[in-house]
Amino acid sequence: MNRRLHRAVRRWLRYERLGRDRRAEGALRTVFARLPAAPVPAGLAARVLARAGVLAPLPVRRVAWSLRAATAVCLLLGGVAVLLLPPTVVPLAGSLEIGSVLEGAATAVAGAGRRFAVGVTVWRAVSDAGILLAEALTSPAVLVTLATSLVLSTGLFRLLSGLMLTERNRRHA
Amino acid sequence: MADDVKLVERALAGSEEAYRLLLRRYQRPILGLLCRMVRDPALAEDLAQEVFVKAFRALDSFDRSRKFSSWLFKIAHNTAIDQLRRRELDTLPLETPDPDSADLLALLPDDRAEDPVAAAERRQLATAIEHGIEQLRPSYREVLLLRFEQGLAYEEIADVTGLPLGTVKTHLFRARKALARWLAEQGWEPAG
Repeated sequence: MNRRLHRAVRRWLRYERLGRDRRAEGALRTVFARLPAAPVPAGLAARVLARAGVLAPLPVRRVAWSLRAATAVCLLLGGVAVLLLPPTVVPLAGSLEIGSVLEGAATAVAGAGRRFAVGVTVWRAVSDAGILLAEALTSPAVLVTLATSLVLSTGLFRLLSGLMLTERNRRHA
Repeated sequence: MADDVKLVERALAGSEEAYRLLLRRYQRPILGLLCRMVRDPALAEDLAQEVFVKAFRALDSFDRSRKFSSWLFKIAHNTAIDQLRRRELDTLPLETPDPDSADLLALLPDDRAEDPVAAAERRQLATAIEHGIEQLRPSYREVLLLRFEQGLAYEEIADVTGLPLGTVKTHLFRARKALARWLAEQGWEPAG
């Protein structure tokens, strides 16, 4: 395979020397076919298409007429509202007093404080109960009672389970 | 595979895909021709872009009775000639090129080569041929490339270059002989 170019060249030169033009032409065409081709640079096609203005432009999103009309109406209403805003706001502004605003704020803070105090009381009760339980668990008498209860309940559970099993076997035999 | 005229019609109808197919079909031949004509890969790439941009912008003026390839090669020919005139690249180098200094084309990996020694030898021969082509006059070089690399008929070459048919044949004959002489001088003459 790797000798093909050599063979083609030598054959062509031989034909040239012999003056056999037609054969020499054919052999030279073979030589050219064996030569490496020029590499095509990456992105050439994209650059050409961009420069030639062939690449399709980004699609323009068409907005429906109804949406356009709705937008126009909204803008119009917005404009009217802006015109009507001062006469509406001024009486409202007059009805509001700093004293009442402060009173409302203070009442809200006091209410929040009361709720917080109730929450703290409940939490303290739960916490006290937890402490008492923890102290009881550390005493030997309570631990012995707990262990005895555990052993006793396990034995009773196994006895109950055995009775249920015997009863079921008797029924389904 | 759609023929060129159909692709042109689809392109004119606004098919981007048709433009892409035309480009894919002709980018390598046009680039190869320009590369060997101007002997500068970067410049050849710029010129190839120019050729395709010109062609695509003037696509509606393409005469469907002609071959698209001839029309495109003619644009490439005019572009290359303009460039050669502008930069006077057709002057022959004073020094003999170093066969070891492989050019861009010869440096390309070749999957046909099976071992490094053979590959090196093949590159050496390819480089010698490339240099031999470079030694030719631009008008000889062009007809040689159009005929033997691109496979154009004599009439198509005459159409592309604007030369009379007889001149094309004469140029081809002389180009062939000059290239053969160059290779023989480089030691590639067959024994016996």
